Amino acid sequence: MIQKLDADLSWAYFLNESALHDWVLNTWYIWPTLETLHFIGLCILMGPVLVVDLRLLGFYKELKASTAERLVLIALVGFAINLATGICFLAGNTWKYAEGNLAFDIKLVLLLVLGVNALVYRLKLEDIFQTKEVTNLSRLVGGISLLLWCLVIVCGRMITFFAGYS
Amino acid sequence: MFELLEKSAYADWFLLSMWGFPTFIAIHSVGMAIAAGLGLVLSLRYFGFRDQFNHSVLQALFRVAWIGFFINLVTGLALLAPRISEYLFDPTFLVKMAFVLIAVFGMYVLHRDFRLFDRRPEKNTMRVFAALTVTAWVGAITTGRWIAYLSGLYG
Repeated sequence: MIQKLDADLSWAYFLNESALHDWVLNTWYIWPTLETLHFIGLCILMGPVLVVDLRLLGFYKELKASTAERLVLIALVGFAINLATGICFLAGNTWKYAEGNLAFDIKLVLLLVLGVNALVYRLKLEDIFQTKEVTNLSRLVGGISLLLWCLVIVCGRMITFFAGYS
Repeated sequence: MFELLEKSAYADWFLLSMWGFPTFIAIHSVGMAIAAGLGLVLSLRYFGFRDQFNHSVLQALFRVAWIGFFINLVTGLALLAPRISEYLFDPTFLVKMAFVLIAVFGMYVLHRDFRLFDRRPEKNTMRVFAALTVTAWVGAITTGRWIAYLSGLYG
């Protein structure tokens, strides 16, 4: 059993022994600063995502394709900030996340689904802005995005309360 | 007055339950993402996104941004009430409230400008308000996060 755990958690050992781990925990204010950046990053992500989701859901039918494209780029900047700060959290406090934290596990699954959802948007829905249409697929993709991003934020905020409980 | 809030049945539940603080703080994070996230988008209109949104889009976005703020007003009061006498003397919290007031005032001015002068988002004074709104949201988020570290009110 212990051997199995060792194999599964090699990434965690790697992160926990990295220079990043030392840097994150080195000074007391690094962690709260990273958290603050994670919050700002999620706003930079969520604002533009909301605008596109509401369009896909049909709350308004006019949103220029060029605008949607620029908004998605801004959202990606937010995502990059949160990926970087998120990896810092993992490296700094590895076992808080790696030892079966239910909120963290659900958050990762939701992010995976959102990745597939974003791929469907990219492949099937980017032309919808020209037609000013709302389709069943656009409602589905917009609805999934809106709901799951909100749940990602909820799960993310819950991680700290689930640490050590699972 | 404070005692009435802090000794209420709600405060008892909030302080003793395992779910009180986590539930409201999690919803508070979602409200933050909606209000500040859309605050950013709506401010971009004055910086290079000038002709990107038409009337119906902006109308909906302002509405949703205010819903986000309302969610955080309600959850914020729910988080505040059980320990109000501690919060009201906490400098970090008070600075956060100042930032929130500036951000809300900025949002109000942007909304008013949109309703009255939809077609010309290029005035320089409005750019100042747009920049002020985004800066104040960043300040509110930062001080909000740091309450836990500087005041020791919550972890």
